[in-house]
Amino acid sequence: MLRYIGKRILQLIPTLILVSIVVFLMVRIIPGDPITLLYGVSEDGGASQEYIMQLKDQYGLNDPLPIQYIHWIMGIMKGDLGTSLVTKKTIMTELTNRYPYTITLAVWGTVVGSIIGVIFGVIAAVHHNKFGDNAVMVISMIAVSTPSFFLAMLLMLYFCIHLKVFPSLGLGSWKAAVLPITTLGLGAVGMIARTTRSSMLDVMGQDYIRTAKAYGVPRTKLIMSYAFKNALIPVLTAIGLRFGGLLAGATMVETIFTINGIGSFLVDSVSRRDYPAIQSTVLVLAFSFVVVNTVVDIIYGLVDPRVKYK
Amino acid sequence: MIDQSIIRRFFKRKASVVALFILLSFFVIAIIGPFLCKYDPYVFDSAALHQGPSAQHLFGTDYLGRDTLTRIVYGSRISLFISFTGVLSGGIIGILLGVAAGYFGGWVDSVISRVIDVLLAFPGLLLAMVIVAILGSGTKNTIIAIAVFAIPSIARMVRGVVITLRDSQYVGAAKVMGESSWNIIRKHVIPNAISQIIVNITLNLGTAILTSSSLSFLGLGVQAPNPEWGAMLNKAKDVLRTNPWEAIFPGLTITLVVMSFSLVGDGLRDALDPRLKNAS
Repeated sequence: MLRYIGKRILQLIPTLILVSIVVFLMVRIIPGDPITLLYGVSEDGGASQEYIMQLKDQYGLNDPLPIQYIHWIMGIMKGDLGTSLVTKKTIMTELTNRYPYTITLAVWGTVVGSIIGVIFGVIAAVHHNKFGDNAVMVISMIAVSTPSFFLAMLLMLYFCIHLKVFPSLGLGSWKAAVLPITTLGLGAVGMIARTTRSSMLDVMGQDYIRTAKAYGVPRTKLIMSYAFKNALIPVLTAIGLRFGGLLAGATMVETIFTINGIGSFLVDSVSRRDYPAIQSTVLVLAFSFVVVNTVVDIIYGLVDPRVKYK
Repeated sequence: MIDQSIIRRFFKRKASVVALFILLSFFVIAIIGPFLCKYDPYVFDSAALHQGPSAQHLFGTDYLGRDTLTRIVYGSRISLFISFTGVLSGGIIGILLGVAAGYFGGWVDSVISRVIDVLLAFPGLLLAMVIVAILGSGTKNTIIAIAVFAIPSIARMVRGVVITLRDSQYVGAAKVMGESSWNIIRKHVIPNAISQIIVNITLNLGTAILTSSSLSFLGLGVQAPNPEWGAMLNKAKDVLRTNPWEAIFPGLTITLVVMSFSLVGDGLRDALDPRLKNAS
């Protein structure tokens, strides 16, 4: 068991290295360099050539690419993600201040989405091809098809403007967190409900369920402890995958509800062309995603004894 | 390839048929709609700012007095164009990568699979955002972002199909008979993967509309004054309190189109490959 976990964690390393190289190269393939792009060229009132050279030296942009990469990685190991070109603050401070908001949103969004999604999926499977199934599937179809920013606006319109029960900005109190979390969670409902439904249908068609039925196991017990437990594994994967999606989805939600998370920082950095900030933020988000997927994989092994620890 | 039974199976799912009809209407709107509009989507009208629905302006007007219905009609051109060109070009690259990886195996497969893994390491919208961050905003770069976004899922799917086919007896027989790799891929591999490719592309078209409108909403995609649906919602957000209609109509349009693509995709999957029916 421990060997399996160890192995999965070891497998993580090459992926993380590859991701970091890609993020690094992505920012380098832009035509021109970030400093010139940010300050403009001297002819039309931008920074002077010397100042740009000095800044490029300061950010190490005159070094060959491999050296730049190694510097960057060594910095990250020491907890230094570089300095923002715009705010001049260290990116590490920005991200550590903002990370808790994004994680809170993503975790609670996943929890809300999973609870609703699993309940929907079980209802749909139990009422297979009947009204309950259709109703639940239509709702989750609408939920996946609605863009999160539109959903957020509809929720705001109803709860903040019409009923005036929740504030529409920030993340100051638990009340303010309800709508952002709901927005994120509803976006995840569709996929989780669909996975739960098909997995439940799969399990409920199996022989041991029919046998249990024949033995007179009560229906609720049959569904909950015989079928549901075994249907859970694909659902867990779906939830894990959605969690990563929610990290990115938080970007939209943070922007709409003006929450100072990582996502809104990324959007700001992108529109300000703040490349060191973009580079580090994307790396942090991609790393979180990859790590979460590995954790899901490991939980997989713990939940399903059929997964071989090879 | 398209025989009667496929069409019959597709038409048995009413929701998918309705969705197909909605999508076809949007194509018609995108092509001829702009000729039927009596308003200009770009010209300001200071006498008609932030109006709700009325007889003159069925869907109301925006912050510059432009007719919302007209802008949604012109916007359907932009949104459908971005999503189709993006997904089709990404799809072609994905198919080529998937076929190469699955058919040739070995180091080709290792390299391509790693690339796909890395692309998949960027959750959802993030990949598109990074690409727009690098290339800058605008319609062309949004299309590129959508294309890159579409590559990994289709490449991975095609690779899987090709691997199972590669070991099948008839491909083996074709090899023994001295068919070239290209001919085998063209005659045996692609036709067998085509139904899954069509389904994947249809589902991706809906996701692409969501992605491009999200980018435009964030101000990173299609730029003003172009009437992109997501960009329209961005402006409408500020007047949600006073004139919610400005947000509701473009928002419903996006939802309707995205949902229709999903329903048509689901219907196609059931019709083209009945074996996949209950596989989520």
